[in-house]
Amino acid sequence: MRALARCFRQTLRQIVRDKETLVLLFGASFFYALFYPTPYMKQVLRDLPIIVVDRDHTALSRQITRWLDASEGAQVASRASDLDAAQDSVRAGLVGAVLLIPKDFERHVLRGEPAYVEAYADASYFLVYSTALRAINGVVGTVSAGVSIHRLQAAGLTDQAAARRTRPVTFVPWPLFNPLAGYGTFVVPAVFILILQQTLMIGVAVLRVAERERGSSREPPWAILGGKLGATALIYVGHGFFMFGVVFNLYGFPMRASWLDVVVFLVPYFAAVTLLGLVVAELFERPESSTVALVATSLPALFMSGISFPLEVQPGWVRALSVVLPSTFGIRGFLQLAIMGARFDQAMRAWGALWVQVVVYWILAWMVLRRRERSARSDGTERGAELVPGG
Amino acid sequence: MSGIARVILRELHRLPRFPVLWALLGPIPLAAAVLLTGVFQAEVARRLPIGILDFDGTRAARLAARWVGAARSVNVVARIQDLGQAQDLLVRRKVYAVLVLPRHFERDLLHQRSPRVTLLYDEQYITAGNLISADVARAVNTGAGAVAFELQRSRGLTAAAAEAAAEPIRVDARLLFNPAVNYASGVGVVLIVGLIQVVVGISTIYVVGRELRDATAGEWLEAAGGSPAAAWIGKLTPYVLYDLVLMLVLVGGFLAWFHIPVRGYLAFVVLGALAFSLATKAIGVLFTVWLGNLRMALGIGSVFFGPAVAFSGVTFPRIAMSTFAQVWSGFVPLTRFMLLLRDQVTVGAPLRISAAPLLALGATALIAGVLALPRMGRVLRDPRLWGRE
Repeated sequence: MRALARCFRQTLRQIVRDKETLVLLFGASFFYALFYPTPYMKQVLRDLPIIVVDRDHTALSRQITRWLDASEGAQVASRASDLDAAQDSVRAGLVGAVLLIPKDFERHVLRGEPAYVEAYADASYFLVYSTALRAINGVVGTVSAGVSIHRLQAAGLTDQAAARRTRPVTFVPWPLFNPLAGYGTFVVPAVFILILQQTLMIGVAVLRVAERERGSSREPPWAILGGKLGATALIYVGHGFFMFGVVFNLYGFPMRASWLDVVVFLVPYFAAVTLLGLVVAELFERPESSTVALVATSLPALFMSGISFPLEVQPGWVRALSVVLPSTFGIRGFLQLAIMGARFDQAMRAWGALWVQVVVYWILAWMVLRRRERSARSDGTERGAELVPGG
Repeated sequence: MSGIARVILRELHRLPRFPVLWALLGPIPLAAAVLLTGVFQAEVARRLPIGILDFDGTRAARLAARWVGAARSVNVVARIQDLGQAQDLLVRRKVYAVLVLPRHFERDLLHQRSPRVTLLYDEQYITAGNLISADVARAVNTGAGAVAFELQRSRGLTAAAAEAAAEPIRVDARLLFNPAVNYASGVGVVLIVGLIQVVVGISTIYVVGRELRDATAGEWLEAAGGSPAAAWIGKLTPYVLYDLVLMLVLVGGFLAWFHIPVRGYLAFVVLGALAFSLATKAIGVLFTVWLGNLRMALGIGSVFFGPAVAFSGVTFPRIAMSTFAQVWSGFVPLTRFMLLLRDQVTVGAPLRISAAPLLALGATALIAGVLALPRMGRVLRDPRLWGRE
């Protein structure tokens, strides 16, 4: 127990003394937490410019134009008569969509014939086309329902009966967990979990390489590992409070989990990342190498977690590789608890998977420490295992 | 032999001494690109798991459930008994959505009381949620439309009139440039290019920063025959060429793998790639020469290049960003290069449209270069700037 306490204090001292680990393990998470959400502060795309090509010039076509301009997602950038020129504007990325209201549109509607409007949306940006189509469908659907009701009333039905008759089934889409489809709420919590992993893993690897350079420790490996886990858990639980308490509040992201649940969930996450960092450090001969090698791993790690493109449609080999990363389960479980409001037992699979990683990476890290210790003893010097000069 | 050629040769001889640089230039981006290709392999998400909560249990309800189950993006994996179970499956992420068919669904349908069919769906996982809700809405409305159509017909309306009465005005939606809503094209490309930007930026910082930290900048200048211009040109040229090869392999490979055609001018894309490499390199050099410290420059570089995808405006449009993020994203080469790729690969826009992002990339390279210039000579000559940890 004494050895554990010594190693714990020793790790903290080492982190504070080395400017690089201090920046990585303290500064980086702090900075990223404030910086990363800035694109998403408005959460949704509003007032996307749309061109209306009105070839009908009637009261009904003007009504659609006005309502579209008043909708949340879109605004009418201009009214034009030339469809080609309007499509060129979409091509140039100046507007998100073109709505074409054809000639004789109102006449078809009044005669009870099928009437169409055409929407050309820029699908090179997903958020642009979906916002444009939602706005256009919403406005046209409302106008269309009004026309239906009008007709049925003319046929002698009451308002209510007419309203029901136009839609034999009423479809009610009920979005859960992130009801406004806020892009920030979608991406930021997952990225925060990823940031914690990347800064901690790189920071621990830097720490370990520097420690190796200084020479071997007389402490038993379990105490070295335990001391590191304690120190990083302490620091990173602090980061957790800052990110999910202060920053979530600042930017208005939801937090549905209790602090106890968050801490209990994150402890094995930090432990798995720390141990993985110790193992990965074996690949590097210079402290800064870990930054160079690991900074490019963030993007695949984020997308392998399945927050964007669903996990269920990713191929088996990608999913098999993703179980190596703590972020895969950390992101999944944290979203369940913090955003989806799960009870802790409902996030048990992710939590359990993190514990499995802790056990596996503990064994690996322990083996690595033992090997270093032995080779240091046999060479009489800690630097004996240096295989590659420079690094 | 000219100074430039000697510096290039020296650089090639140095390379094998830095395994981590090798890893950063070759295996790491390759592995990451293969993984990202794997992630988007399906291109379009289909058959996502959903559940059905049928409070009615009648033939009409089962028929409606089957109708919804036939939609392309869903796969009914669970028949649920109550709302508690629905909530449980949703938060456990066993299903992305639950379709609720109310009690008396069949009776209300036959009596034309318009029963409410509710889709509870997971909008935290926006991609899956939006896809499922749009697809299920379409399935329900089509099914309902068929019912309404029959109702109107039974009143003696003609088929066309009945159709028009059921839905008087329709939207004929056409998705331009990516009609299949292919995720590899819509999201994948920016990740690959973002990855390349990290590699280009960080490797630049590393190769320059190592000279300072190892205090070998003097030898470097000596190899250039004392000319700082030759030293810098010789240093960076091999890497600029390598960046182009890397982009050809990774971006070209990604596009080819997913059969994404280049609709515009390939030569212009290559020109853009060169400008992208130069702009990213200039920023890397700027950080390194002013900080004069390898580790610090790597840290700042990670901050700048690491989150660049979020600021690029591809997944979240720039017009929706905060002012700060809009301004910041303007400095990121990725933002400009993605515009150019969108125009020349996805859209096939005329060249004059892509001139703006190309000029912006050139300006970025120029401004960063000019800002770095006062220190670019000094770091080669002044030993006080070397060997800093």
